[in-house]
Amino acid sequence: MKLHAVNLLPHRVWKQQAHRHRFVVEAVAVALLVAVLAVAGGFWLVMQRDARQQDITQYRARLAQAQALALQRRQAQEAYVKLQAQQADVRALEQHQLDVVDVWGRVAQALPDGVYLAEVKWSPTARSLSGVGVSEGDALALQQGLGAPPAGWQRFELIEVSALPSPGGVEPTRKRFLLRALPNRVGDKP
Amino acid sequence: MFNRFRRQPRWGLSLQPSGYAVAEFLPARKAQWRLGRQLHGAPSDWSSWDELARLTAALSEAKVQWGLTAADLELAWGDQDIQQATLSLPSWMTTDDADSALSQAWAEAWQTDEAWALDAVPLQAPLDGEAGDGLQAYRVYGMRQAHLDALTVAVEALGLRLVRVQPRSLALYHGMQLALEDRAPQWLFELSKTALVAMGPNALGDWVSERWDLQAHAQDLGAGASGLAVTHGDGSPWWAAEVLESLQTFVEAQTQGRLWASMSWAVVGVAGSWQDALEQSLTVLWQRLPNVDEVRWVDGREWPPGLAAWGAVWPSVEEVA
Repeated sequence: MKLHAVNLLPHRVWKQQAHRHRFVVEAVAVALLVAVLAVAGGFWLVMQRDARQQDITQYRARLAQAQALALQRRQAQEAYVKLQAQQADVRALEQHQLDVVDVWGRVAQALPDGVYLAEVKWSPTARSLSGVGVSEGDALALQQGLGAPPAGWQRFELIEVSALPSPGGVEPTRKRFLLRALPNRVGDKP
Repeated sequence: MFNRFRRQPRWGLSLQPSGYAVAEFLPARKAQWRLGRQLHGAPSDWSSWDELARLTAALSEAKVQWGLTAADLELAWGDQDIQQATLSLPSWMTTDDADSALSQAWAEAWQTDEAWALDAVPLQAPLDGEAGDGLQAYRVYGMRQAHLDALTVAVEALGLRLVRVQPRSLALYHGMQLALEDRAPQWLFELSKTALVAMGPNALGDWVSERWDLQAHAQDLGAGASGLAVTHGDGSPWWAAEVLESLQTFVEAQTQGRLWASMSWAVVGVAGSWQDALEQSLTVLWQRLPNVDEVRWVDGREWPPGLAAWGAVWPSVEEVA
């Protein structure tokens, strides 16, 4: 059985008014809440933005420091490479001088009597000694006398022997010779 | 199903045309049932209701006596000042948006230009005939707006706010269901000095009530006479045959169309031989209804003390009379 709460007072109008009033109150409350949240959210966003900007400033400063350090390191590396190149050059020059001294020493000891050198060529690709001797045997003796080659070079080889006519035909014919040493090729035994 | 949590009137004002008004108090919790009573002269003319001051004073006294602190006041008003009508509106029109339509239909039904305070409940009962298609029936209750305004002013003078006014019979039925829950009688018959009221469920589950005014039967006997005091030679009320026949027709018409496995009923209001006579007549009525299998009479003596006092109120009125 349905029992209805009959009410002869304008309860529906009251209910509508209460509903409207509640709606207005809730709308105002929601608006205030939204406003508070918006202000709080905006404040929070500003705080976050400031914090991020501060972080970015710090990062930029550290990046500048890192970039300066990297530049210094690159410059130091370049200087080091340059020094190494200079050091290599100095060593090469020292080795060259030692080689020259060594060859000159050997030449001085092995140069037979009556033989003189006409030309000495010294280049990174070849070393050649040309001179004039009495016979072909002088050239061979000089070659033998030079002994074992220095590091990085092959033995002096007799490349050419030719007759050198004497001026006027007074003196006997002499022999012009050419000795040449080449650097070791890749794969050769030192 | 009755909603036990629905708020019920806590004050009841029943104005009796015979010259007395009864103020009743129904606390919400049955464990604290209390009843009070104030007697007043009835308003003979609402436009100049001299008794309003006395009623207001009595309410004020009762408020102090019962220690009421609530600011809201709910009233059950006497049925004799509340008119009822069954009106129909298009079914698509709900109660909330049909107030103006109901007001117009009410004015046409009662042929009146007065302002009325109305409320309506939808009925399950379909309208007869093809004209009923697409229509929804409403039970409409109406009270003159001027009376309601006067009552509102009187209540507000007490510092209270009137939040509910409903027919006393409906409030009584609500209170009975609330107090007794599943033991409450389905059909309730209230007998007072001036009226007999029958109320209960019809075959479709709607709550229906009907009132028979006994004052008309006492008018010829002079002022101060009670309708119940007029008897036949065997001691039975002479109005019984006429009123009871109408009552039986009403109950039979409302309950037919459905098989009732059980039906419980009770009589409240009048103690003594008059109640016995009415209960005997109703017992015969229930026994001859073919669509009711089991009939159970509810003994008011088993009710809670507060509820039992319902029946004690009205004999006191008789004594004062």
